[in-house]
Amino acid sequence: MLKTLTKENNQNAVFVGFLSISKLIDETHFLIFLYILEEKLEKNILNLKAVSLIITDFIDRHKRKASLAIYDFMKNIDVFKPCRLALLDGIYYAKYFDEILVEIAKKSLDTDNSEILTKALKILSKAERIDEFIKLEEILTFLKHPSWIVKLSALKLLEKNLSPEIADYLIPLLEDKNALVRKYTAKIIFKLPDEVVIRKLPNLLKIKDVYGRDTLVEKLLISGFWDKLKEYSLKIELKEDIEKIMQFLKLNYNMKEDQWTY
Amino acid sequence: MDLLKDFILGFNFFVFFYYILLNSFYTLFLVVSLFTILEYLRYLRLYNLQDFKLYSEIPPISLLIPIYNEENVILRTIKSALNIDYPYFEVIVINDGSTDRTLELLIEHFQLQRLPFFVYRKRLDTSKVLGFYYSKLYPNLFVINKERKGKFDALNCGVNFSKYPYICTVDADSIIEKDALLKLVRKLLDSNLPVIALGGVVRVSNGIKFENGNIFSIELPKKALPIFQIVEYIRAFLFGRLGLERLKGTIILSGAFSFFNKEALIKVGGFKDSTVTEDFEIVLRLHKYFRQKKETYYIGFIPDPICWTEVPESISELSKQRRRWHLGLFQTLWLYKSMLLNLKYGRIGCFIMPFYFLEATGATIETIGYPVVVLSYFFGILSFEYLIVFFLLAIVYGIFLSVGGIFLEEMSFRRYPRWSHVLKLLFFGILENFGYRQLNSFFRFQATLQFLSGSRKWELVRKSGETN
Repeated sequence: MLKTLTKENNQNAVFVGFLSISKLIDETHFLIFLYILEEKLEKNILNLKAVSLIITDFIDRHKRKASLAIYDFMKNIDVFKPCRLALLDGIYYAKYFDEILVEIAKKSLDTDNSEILTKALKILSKAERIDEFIKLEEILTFLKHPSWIVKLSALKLLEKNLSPEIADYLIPLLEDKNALVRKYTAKIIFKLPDEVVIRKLPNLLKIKDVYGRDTLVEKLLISGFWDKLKEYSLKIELKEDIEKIMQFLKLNYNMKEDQWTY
Repeated sequence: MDLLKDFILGFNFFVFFYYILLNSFYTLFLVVSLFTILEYLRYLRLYNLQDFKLYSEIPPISLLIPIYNEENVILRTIKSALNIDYPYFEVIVINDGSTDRTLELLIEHFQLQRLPFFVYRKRLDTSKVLGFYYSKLYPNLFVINKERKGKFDALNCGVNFSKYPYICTVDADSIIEKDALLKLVRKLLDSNLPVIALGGVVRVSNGIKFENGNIFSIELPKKALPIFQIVEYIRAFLFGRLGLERLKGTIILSGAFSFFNKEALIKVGGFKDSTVTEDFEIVLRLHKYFRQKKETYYIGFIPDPICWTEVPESISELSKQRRRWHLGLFQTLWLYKSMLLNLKYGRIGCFIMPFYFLEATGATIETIGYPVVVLSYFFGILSFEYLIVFFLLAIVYGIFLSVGGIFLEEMSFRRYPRWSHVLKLLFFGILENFGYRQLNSFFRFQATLQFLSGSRKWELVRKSGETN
């Protein structure tokens, strides 16, 4: 069957063929299956999305055995970039997930290609506890990556491993030129422990970039943190910080006194 | 008496010359469009849109929907906007002081929450913003409530609120297809020049059945008037605008569906109310600005992103719409008359604007031309042969163009898949030359008179909102 598939050049027939063969083959043929898949992608008979869908089906069907095969396939040969991208995309959409797939993603972080990095970070963000697989310092380096999409993916990963000390690393991202990065940074900030956010906010609001500030204020209002601020204003140790925040909002965002009642 | 006869004869020859000139332009566009479509279809075969989504660096987009008293259609439009297949986008609905239940409907349906105060960077001047709402159901849906000042002001307000570098304007009665943004952005990433503005195809939604904001089935409307407009839209977009695009002369992007670089828009001062067609005016202003600055830029039209819009179903509403369009055309050409035949503005000033000027004045020539030619024949001023040639030029060539448009549609995108649809469209393509076209010329002639009298009236067109 795999031989027949090798000779076939019709896009639809090849796609359906892979899905059908995926049901029938045993693990001894997994690597050949992946080689042929790569070849079809190289010859433009299959597109990236088709390869990704086949991989998702392959993983969900054969679970750990498929993970191991993909791991070996990516380890042994120099997989060309589009195929690597499609494989990672397929892994991301698969329901089945294990530590081997995490390892594949981790190994894929060792590249400069922003698309591969993005997919790898997205796979890692599927893990329940990422601190078991990747150190915080490693994620933080991706926050400095020149590509916004890598920064965004790193932020999404960071969201899974929130700790108060990351707040300071987020400040430059509030001033990022990409609006999505600013928006997601603001979102993460308001997911930190409430008291940490209140203590940090007066400083965060001092950033020079007005768009970063706007994003932060908008998220403050939309995230529901605004109501929390009212509750926390009763706490004496936080009162000073909250006063500073209010003063800033009155001065820069036309906040009226009646919109803030203690 | 002889002098009058000579004058009438002279006018008849002028009309004859006008039709030859206009039809030459149309023939050029038709031929050019044919090659462009063939080339584009070849390009599309190599391009997989879903693959394109896998490469993640596609820019986020803000979708702006200005609304004014749109309670019949707005929920459908927003639902379809939220259903778009695009990784990163926000939908900003700008309520321009509606006096009906539009805002209440939105608050109720999308569980909108009003912010106690809001963040508003006034980069473009607008009327007072009364409130800012976010949806509890859809994190990328925002609604702005503002004082009424018109569509241009609502769009500017949306630009001020938008967070992303590109904006796409959509009319409240229009539905953009799921993959339309991906198709637009494909051009953005492929272009070697900085993309300033892009437009897609606008099609008639009357008769189309929608389900959850997506197209369920494509049918032709029952009434004749919208079918005439379908033929007209196909002709206008598939060979008019595509032809102009090939000649690098896109100066009109439909307000129902256009895409802009936000910073470029802000640089030129945003949308303005100096004409009644802010969509045409802004594009010409962008051309003028970038040509004056001698900066490279690209403003273009793409034939496959589609937006479905509702067209008038009654003569009175159609007349209002056409008068407004034509008045806007005159106002804009007048406003930018310094560009006309000015070498500094290249092909825009020397070729494209004269063509539009010819189209603008054409309504008067056509409206007066028909009766004058026929009467001239009856009074023996013109020969029978001239009368035949005139009708060949005016009517038969019109039929040829309509059929040409439908032919282009069928060989390319085939949005009307059934043969019964095609045959019906062909029939209406022939029929429109016997009454509908002349009626349109008359509305445009009225607009010419309005322009000459200095009118700036925006005639509000009521749509049925019955397409579901």
